[in-house]
Amino acid sequence: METPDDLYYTKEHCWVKEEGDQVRWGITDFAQSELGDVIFVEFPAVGEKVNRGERIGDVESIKTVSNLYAPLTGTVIAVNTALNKSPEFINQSPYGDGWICLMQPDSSEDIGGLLDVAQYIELIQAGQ
Amino acid sequence: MKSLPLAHLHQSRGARMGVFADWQVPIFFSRIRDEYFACRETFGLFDVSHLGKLFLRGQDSRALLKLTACRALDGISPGRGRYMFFLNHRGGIVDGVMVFPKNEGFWILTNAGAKERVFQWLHTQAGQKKMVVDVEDRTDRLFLFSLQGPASSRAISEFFCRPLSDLLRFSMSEAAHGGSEFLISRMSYSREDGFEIMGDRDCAGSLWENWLDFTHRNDGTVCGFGVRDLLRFEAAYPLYGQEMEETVNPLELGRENLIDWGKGEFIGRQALLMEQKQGSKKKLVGFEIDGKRIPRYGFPIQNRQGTPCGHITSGNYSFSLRKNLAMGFLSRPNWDIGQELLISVPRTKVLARIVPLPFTKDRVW
Repeated sequence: METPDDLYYTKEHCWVKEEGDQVRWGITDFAQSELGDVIFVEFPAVGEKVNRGERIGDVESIKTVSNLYAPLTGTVIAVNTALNKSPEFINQSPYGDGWICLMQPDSSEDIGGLLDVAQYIELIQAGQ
Repeated sequence: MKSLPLAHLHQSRGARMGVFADWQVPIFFSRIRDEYFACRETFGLFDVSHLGKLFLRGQDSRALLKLTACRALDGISPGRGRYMFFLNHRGGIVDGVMVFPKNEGFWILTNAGAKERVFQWLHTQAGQKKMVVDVEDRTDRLFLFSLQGPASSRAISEFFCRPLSDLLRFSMSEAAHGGSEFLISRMSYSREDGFEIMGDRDCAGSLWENWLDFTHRNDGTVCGFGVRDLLRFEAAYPLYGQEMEETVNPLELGRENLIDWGKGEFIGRQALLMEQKQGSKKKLVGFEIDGKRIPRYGFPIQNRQGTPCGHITSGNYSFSLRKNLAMGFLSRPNWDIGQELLISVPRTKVLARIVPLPFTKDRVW
């Protein structure tokens, strides 16, 4: 199970990466392995204002459908439209080609409220 | 919660475990997609020990099956088996089972979630008719493995070093391996060739390990219940608790071919005759779905005028047909092939067209 130590995480199993004053995020390796084969992603709209913890989309797999929750409060800058054609990128490369969304957070300080890798690993282990 | 006898082995091999019919089972070992194509192109190996394994014997056992099953066992040669429904007095399905005559008795393989009900049903009916039978639940003493796929005949023949490719479909035979005896049957829930191996639970671990080695050396794949459900869904085989329930009868499932009207009286016959005369009020149909949302169990269906007219029983994505498909019950008169309907999925509705079942046809084997 891959959990890179240069990322932030949410309790809803999203990873968040700082890229200048923007953040890129997707679902974690743990989340994709729980979901199984992903076949569809419903994205938030580009330009949409979203609030931390708000449901802003879905990831549908063969097994189940899982909600996507905004990891931070801010504005959606871009979504990974490559997933429309190749949703399996989420399974194959959850931290790379399988990214989901690029956001402009309202406050750069909010990211400090997310989990670090140790806290996230602890969260996963507590749930198993 | 019940556990497969080899659950610890499956977990140690990296299986993602989940719950099915109150059993803790492997959902997938690698990827459902990979397991699916193994079953379509070579073969997949499954542990299906959760299935109910009853043995019926006693002087009235044949008479009890004649009373409780809507399909006849008469006239089938030794070693052959049949899929059949046990019905309640309203014609509703107690379970769909495989029955194999064997050594003065009958093996009855049931759905996992229906085993207790079948067991009680047979006991109750035998008691009411004062029949001399013994129904033994051997589920916990036995394991059951399954192979599905076009190469399964070659695989099982090589593994047991005997030509099992000549075993007829819906037949049972015996084979030995490592000093132990096993029962081999040839069925399919995938519309591919398929075999089952049943034996004493004490032999399960070593046989499974041997099968795993053989599978990996022969381009097969160990598979979980995710792909099992997808294969049976594409083949439109009903699953207990989804398509099959005690409130659903074989006519509503479109399985009149599994009713032997001429076999004499059986439980549920009068109710089925009445339904046949009046016409069914609901029917199981298949859907092709527009878009990428998968309708799942219980999702409501409405016609283009917005009137509720049914519900989904199963939905999935077909890797080979490359589309989302579903099955569900529709009320009369909404079930013409080609008719368009709307299915509610979370936060939206999707367009669906009624298509013939099954979604996949039998392969030649």
